[in-house]
Amino acid sequence: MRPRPKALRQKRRYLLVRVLPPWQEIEQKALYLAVSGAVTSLFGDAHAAEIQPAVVFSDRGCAILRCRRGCEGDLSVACATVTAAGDLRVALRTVAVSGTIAALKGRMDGWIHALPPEQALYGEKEVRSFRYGRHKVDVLQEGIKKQSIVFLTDCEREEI
Amino acid sequence: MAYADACVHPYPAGDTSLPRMALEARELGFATIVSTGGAGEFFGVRAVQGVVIGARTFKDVVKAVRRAPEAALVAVCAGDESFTRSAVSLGGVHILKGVHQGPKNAFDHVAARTAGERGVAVEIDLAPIVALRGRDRQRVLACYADVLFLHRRYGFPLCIASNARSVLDQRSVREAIGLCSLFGMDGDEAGAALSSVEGLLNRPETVRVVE
Repeated sequence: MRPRPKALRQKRRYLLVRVLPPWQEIEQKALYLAVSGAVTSLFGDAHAAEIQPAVVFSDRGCAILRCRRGCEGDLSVACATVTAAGDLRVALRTVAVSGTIAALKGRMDGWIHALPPEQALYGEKEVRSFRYGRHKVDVLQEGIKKQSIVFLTDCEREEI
Repeated sequence: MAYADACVHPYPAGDTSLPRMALEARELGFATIVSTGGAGEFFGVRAVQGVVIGARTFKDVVKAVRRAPEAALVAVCAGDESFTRSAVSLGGVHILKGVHQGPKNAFDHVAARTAGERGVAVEIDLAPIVALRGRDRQRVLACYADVLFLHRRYGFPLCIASNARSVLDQRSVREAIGLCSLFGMDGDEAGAALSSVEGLLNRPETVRVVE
């Protein structure tokens, strides 16, 4: 199919969002389903069709979402209501809005992504922890039935 | 303007320590958080002690308010009509919480007028807007729209709380304003609600008769 001439194309806006916790691997499709579900649930099918949400890029800790121009505010509010992607608990924080993907990718250059997991002592148990940012430490606790995350700072890490 | 998150529940109620919540709050644009699990200053963010009273009878509320620490921000959970009216008129109560959880018309025009006269704030809880879906969320939004209508008529303060038990539940100032726009609150009103905690902490004390 031939692409439409530029004058006939719909104008788009792109949102750069931070995905928390950044070390968790989330598939782009799971993220799309989470965002699309949140938009539909919040604004209904009719307005969701106007917004046209899509995930155009997703990497560890960040994603770029697409919507129609003028609907970026609504998509940003819908992102604030996302609590899970697939089975994983996540939060999406909108960082920037732009008219081009290149501008947002330029902003992502300085971001600090998660380091590989390290071992830490939590009580008497040895557990995996992820350290990122300047002070943030996420500790993975293995329970009897499931894994849970404890969010700490490095000053408390000394107590671990 | 110094924005405040009117209620967070750090460890052990949640999975995040208080310093981590303060660190996250700083990144999200808040200068103060009201915490049910301790107080202090972390990473430049002030954590104020908050006390949540979820008593069933008014007698228990009076006891709990008396037991609350001096500098703490006291929040009472709303109940039925008469309970809410009594709670709002009680000295030492700063915030009326959980208006959306009470029965229909739990917070009526009489309670609204009393809250306006006594400077008691009504909490807008963002957690149900974020977490609920479908009819439950519609009911919460309708309740908040009603509270907003009464706020514009009687002028009682509002405060906005994430009621976060995890960093994943905390929301930024911009997101909070966006979520509040869902039930008709404009940017100026949301800004005033986000910065009302300082006013509640420095509220002039009611006149007491000393024999």
